Amino acid sequence: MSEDSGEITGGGEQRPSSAVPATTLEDNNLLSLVLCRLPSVPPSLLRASLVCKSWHSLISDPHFIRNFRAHQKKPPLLGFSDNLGKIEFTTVLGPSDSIPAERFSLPLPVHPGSCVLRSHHGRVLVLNQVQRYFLVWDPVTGEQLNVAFPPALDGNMVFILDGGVVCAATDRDHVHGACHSDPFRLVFIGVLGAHIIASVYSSETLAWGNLFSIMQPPYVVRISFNCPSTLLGNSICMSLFGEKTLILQFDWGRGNLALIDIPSDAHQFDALNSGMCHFMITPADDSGGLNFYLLSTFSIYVWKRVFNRVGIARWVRGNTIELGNLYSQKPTMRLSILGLDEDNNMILKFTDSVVFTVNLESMEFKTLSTELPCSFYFHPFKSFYTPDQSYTEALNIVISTKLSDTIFFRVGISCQQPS
Amino acid sequence: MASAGSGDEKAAAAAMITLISSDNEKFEVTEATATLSQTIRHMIEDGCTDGGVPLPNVTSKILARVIEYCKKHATAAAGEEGSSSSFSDAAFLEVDRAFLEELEEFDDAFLEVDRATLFDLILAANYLDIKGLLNLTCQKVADSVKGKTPEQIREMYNIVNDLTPEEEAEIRRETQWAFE
Repeated sequence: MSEDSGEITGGGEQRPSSAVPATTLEDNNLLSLVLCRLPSVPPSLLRASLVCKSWHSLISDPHFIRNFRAHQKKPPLLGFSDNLGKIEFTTVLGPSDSIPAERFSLPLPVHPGSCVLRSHHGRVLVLNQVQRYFLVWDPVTGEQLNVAFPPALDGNMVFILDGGVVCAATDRDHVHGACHSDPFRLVFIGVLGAHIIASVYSSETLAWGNLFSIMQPPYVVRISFNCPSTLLGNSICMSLFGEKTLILQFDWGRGNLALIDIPSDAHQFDALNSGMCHFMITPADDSGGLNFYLLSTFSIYVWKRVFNRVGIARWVRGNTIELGNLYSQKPTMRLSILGLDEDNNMILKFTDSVVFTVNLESMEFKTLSTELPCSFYFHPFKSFYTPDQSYTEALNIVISTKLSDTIFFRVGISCQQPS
Repeated sequence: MASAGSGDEKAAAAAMITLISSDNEKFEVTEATATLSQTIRHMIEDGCTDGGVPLPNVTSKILARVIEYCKKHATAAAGEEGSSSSFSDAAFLEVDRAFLEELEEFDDAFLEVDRATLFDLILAANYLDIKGLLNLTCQKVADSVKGKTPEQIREMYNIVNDLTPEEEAEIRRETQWAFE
């Protein structure tokens, strides 16, 4: 190798260069590069915006906010929506970064019986089974959209099993977690008589699409609200229990509603029928493939669904992930799965309520600072929350009680752009 | 100090570029090292490097550090390329991991500089367009701001608070929860 730099380290004692520290941070481009690298948890930017005028105006600039999101790539996990009688937010950020619960708790009185169905891409989907409507809620902006069940179901007894609210932005540099004004799809899976049904609502056309339907399996089917469904691109997978455990996949991208057997050798695990959630479907890759994860004591067994040349699928057993080594200090504890976030982090909970995440790609473990109360219905909420949004003020709350059509339950928003 | 050395046989075979600092010190580096800088890469592509590349914005002290960084990272890149064909997959991954660990250690040690030097390195990395170095140094500054109150940040970087009390109160009111 060359000796091109010689004894460089001796250069450190020379007189400092003419540039003084302030000049670097006075350059908006360089300051932007620095501030983009602050942690994505909300208070870091908000605090920096109070340093001086130029920092404040840079951080309030929509262009900077776009760069910030693009640099961060993934929104932080802010907390969980939970469902203990009312729809509340539980933060998982540390004490110095935490967000008060009332910030993201549903401000409007919702009908009794409303519950959070799922949370995806910074939006929360609330279901009211009795009043037959969905509420799409963006906790960061406060915006709410009320969507009645599809008119095709009018007069029929329908029971909603699961659903999702999925960002439909198609621009190339879109970063999920800041999808506030972007279009979305609301999807649901339900039971109507002897059929399982599913449909998609588009926020662009303000209308429901076709109703998909298949016959229920010829044996008792029940669902467990403890077992979270999984979003995989343009499809959603949920579990059906009964004499046989099955996966139900609604792929609205391809217009397909289908039942999938779980791996046959998974049936030997008692964990499958323990009443707690011990398995999870996850996306295998970008092509829409599936993985099946089964948690049994401190091991996670993994299967991957592969297709042969004529398109026949089967499950192939993969690696086993051992958690025992890492958590040997809690040998008497039991684990259950709380969910999977959009970045392939599985969220697990010990019986003592300590919650942690495992990234299924990097196998990186992270213990969340909050010990959640002993409720089972938690929905991970991930979103960017930047100063431009913290200027949002809710004004003139207008509620319509007309539920037969799709109506905006829209909170009047005034977004003051800081000067 | 860091002027052209005699070089070993490998270096003699490689194309060399002369970089000239603002205080007129000359540094001879391999093309692989120099082209970590996009600015210099474009100059080489345009054929404007005969007689050396003057860098009027970079002092010899900072240029020496920048070259130290580029040399290490160019070596790592070359090592990775060379290893890809001669190892089994497992051995390759092991070598890859070792390279990354070594680079991380190097980067950590490299950042052990005073604040003035760190800012000078940011200016140089920006001017020379060296992505990795710019990312590394900006992240270091961001980490120093992380978790600090506005007062602490101002004190750390000698920043004058030019927000009027009214403006400050207004921002605090709107984002009060972040400061509780």
